[in-house]
Amino acid sequence: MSQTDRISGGLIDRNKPMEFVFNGKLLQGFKGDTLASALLANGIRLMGRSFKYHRPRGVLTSGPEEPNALVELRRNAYKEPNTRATVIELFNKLEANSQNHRGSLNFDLMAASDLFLAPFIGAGFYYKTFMWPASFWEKLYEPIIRMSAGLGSLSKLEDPDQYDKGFLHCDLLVIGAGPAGILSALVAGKAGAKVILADEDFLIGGRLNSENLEIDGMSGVVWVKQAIDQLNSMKNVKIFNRTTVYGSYDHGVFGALERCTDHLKESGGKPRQILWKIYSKKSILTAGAIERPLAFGNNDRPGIMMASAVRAYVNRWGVLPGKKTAVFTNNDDGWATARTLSEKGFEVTAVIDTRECKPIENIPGASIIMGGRIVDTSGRKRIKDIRLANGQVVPCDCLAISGGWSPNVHLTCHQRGKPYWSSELNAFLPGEHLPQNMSVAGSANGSFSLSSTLTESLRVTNNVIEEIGLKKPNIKGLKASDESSGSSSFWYVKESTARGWVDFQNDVTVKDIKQSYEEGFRSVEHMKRYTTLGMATDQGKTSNILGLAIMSECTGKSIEETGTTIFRPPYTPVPLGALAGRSRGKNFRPYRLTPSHRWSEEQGAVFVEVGNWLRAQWYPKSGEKNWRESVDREVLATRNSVGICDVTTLGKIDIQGSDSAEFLNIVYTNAFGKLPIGKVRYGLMLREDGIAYDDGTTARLGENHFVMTTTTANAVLVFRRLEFVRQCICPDMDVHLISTTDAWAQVAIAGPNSRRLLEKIVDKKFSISNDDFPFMACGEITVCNGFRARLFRISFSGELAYELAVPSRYGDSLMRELMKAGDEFKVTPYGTEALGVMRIEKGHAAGNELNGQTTALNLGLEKMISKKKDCIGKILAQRPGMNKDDEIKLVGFRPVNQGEKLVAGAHFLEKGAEEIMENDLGWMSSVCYSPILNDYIGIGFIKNGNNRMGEVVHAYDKMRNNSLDVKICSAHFVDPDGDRVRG
Amino acid sequence: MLQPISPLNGYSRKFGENKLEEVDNMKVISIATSEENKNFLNKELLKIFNIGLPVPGKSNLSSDGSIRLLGLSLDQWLVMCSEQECNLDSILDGSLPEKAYLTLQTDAWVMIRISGPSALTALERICPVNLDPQIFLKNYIARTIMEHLGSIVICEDLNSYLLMSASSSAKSFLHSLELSLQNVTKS
Repeated sequence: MSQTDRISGGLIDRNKPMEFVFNGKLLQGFKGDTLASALLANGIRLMGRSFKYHRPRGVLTSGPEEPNALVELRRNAYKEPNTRATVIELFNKLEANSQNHRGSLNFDLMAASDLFLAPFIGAGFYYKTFMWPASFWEKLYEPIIRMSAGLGSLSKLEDPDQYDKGFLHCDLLVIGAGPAGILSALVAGKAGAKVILADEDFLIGGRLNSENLEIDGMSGVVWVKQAIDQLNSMKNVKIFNRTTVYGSYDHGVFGALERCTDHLKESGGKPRQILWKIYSKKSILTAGAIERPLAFGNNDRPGIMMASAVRAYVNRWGVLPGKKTAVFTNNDDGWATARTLSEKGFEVTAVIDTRECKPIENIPGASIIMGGRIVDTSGRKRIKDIRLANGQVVPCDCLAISGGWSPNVHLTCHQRGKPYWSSELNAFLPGEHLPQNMSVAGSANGSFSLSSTLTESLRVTNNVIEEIGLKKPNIKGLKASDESSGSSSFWYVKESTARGWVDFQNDVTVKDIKQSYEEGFRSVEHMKRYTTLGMATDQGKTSNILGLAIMSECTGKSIEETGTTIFRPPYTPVPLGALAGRSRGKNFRPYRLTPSHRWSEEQGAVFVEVGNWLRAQWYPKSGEKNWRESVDREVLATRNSVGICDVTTLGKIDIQGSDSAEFLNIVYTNAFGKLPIGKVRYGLMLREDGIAYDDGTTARLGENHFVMTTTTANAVLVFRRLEFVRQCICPDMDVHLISTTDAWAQVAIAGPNSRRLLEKIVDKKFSISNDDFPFMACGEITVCNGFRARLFRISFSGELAYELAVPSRYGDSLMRELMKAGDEFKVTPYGTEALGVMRIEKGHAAGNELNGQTTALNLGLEKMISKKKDCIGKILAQRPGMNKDDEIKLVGFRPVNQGEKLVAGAHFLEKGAEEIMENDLGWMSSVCYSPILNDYIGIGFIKNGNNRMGEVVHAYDKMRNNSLDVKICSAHFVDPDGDRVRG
Repeated sequence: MLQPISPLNGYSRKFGENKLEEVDNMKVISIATSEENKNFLNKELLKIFNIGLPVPGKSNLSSDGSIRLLGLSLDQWLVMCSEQECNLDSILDGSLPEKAYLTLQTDAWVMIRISGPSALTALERICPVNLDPQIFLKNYIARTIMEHLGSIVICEDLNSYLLMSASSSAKSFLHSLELSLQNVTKS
């Protein structure tokens, strides 16, 4: 098909033709076209189907407010539904398909909902139907609704595009590069301010690209070109076209989406879009205004367009939307469309102005009808004629409508700013409470004429420059045309009996709004939700004011009294891919590796995520059929000889200062003031409310030097808590903290041969005999001939055990040295599973037990709360409710029938008791298979547990259908007297 | 004999005219002190390194460029020096520990230098701090978060920044920098 409706002129590059495909048909356009302008040039008016009634729809606007011409762009995994044809920059080989139809676009089977079902599916029909019979909901109603609902379709494939994000800083962010924005950037740029000028269009200039306006005696287009050249020469100014500032946030922060490669066939491995976070000292909103439609019978037919859009297609894109155009307006600006067409020699069949006044101007050959009303139109897939209230029928293949202009106040509302109604301009204007440091200029502020736009922009920018602290440059006001901008408060044609559309995207009609009022929805917020006015991808940019006006008429109140809903981010849709940015797949979040990671990989370790860490879970050996066999082997090898495990992930905090001991007394329940140098002590922390928070060991390396260890999960939280205590609770203390978690590689060496193994590593001048280095000793030593190290004799496994720390860079090498040195003892590396088994066998509490619900008393650690000193959480831990006689206590459990599998999470009930919450006695927190005891064991909390040794209760787990009888026992299954750790 | 491995095993890669390289020969010690001992510490540092304590957000570089003092907070600083240029043990065992609290930090950090004409543009993608050369001058430092990772940015020169982050997440940090450079360069 040739470009039948392409005319001369425009800002397209006719030397660069571009082929594209729409609904399988090969078409041609030019560089500079949008998909909408190219389709119009090719004579295509029917571009999609409406949401609910599947009405044939063509393009309504020429900008981002487009509610009708939504298409699915690209194909397969690259497919993107609901893209607006009016903002898709045409590129060679572009592929697009219309959406929301069953069958072809021309013959949509779902159009039956318009032709036959329309009377039954008005506003809120889904609130009143599908109620009966209830059983039909899941089987019939929901599947049908799901099948029918939704705009566009997803590929359901992973998005192959790349996305990025970034941070920008500026003195002044200018939002919108129309005449006001360009002038503002020029003035601020010349003043030396660091300026960002952002515009969603690919062509800077705003309405100057679409109108025949002059500035300082030159055409608007030429003025824009000169201004852009000037701006590009300023190093302090950055121009971002194809960039939508979609949200205004606290402290002058804005969100912006830059479409980097959307105008290209392929991204070439570079980010398709970038989500910018812009930090601005000041901002000026120069986002222009949006023309709104008028409601009358069948006002949604293809060929009915906004009057300004008709001008834009003619002037900017060299496209003639119709050979016979009629204009229906309630304001002066609609006449500009008639004038533009007439001056270019195109036929204007009629200008119908709703106002009873003298014609604004003479349009040759056109019927001028003042005080006229269109009551209906005809032409299902393209408008053929219009019928007026007086019965006159006017033929046309394009109807340009103008219901006045709405300033683009969207971003002024993002911090709860409420616009106010100007009855003079018949528009909502930016309210008193703008986002911090924001100013508004131009049409966005109701200054609709070019002259007033430029005057206001200069004034506002000069003020902003002075507020920034710069000197305003000597720039004179610009001479520009002062277009007539008279308007009226005419909203819809009451004489129409046919349906008149208010919200084209959601198929909301005048009747729907009146019905919602009749049914009691009197607030605009309720009306919006009942009718769906202003929802979906366009967020009511063309429909909101019209809907409010009809609502205000129903209520008999003014629009001001009726009020308005306000806007929230984003201004236009932001793809989820852009919000996710580069955080996907393996790099969804940062990961942390232990110093022995590479060595563990070489051993074939299976890794598990522990917070951000990747830890070796177990080390399978050939011949082992399942993980249990590996873990059992690791446990037995450790208990019988020696095992090694990388425990670097435990938090390590260096605490120094003359008040360190006193500081520890505050954060720990037990006392640390008298801990001797060279000793380690187990410590328990409480939350302020008395609940157990974290536990770990703290070693005293010097009079004023401690090293605290925390659980892996709480490492950061504990550090943050200590900083809070240091800075806010004890600001006068001489205490200094720094995390050393990453600085030291720490390896647990556990088992009866651990000392013998270590003696081969530790330099001879350091004795680690039981006498010289007893249980809970620590010291700074050297290993492997002079390498700085720290040794702690502590045990999580319940074995004779040590933790050896060396600077992280030596962690990998240390593991290899330990394995080599331990060969004679058959040293075995063990992972987190074996670690877990051994700590359960020993009855040590871990994360499952310190789960934010348990107290020191529950854990059997109540004696650790020192009576001689205060500590965080001490007072509230004494609450009577947390110290009842039958408090839950941490004890051990074994199955009555040996070999039966225990399950963590099971709840305890008295045998035979009804399985209800009132009978709940507690829960199993951790379980494992103990290869030492050759049976499943568990630890958990049960009421009065310490006084119920030997009793049998029922462990109830209906969720996994695994309930059984268990016997209460000591939580210390292995070495209850601690002989091994002290051996 | 233990063999050292740096967090990125000596990584170095060019992206067009830009370069990303691990700096693995630096030793780092944190120094903290009480308010009353600040003057003493300042004098001692002038004696040892010939540089004084910087305020938070700035760093002082020795005249030969071998030692840098970073001001992290009102009572905490980092000393950075190349292994060839300073004897760490002499600092730890010298007069400083009398009135200052020293902590070995060498292995806690990965250090990556990003340099070249696109260095700043690449950092724009991950660094929320305003690194405009007219604002973030040579030897300025900032503590910030990049890609969820705590980090320190040091402006070594125009188009050259030394970045520090936790050594355990070095590979994630490197990935974020590589991706940034890939995204802003033609290569």
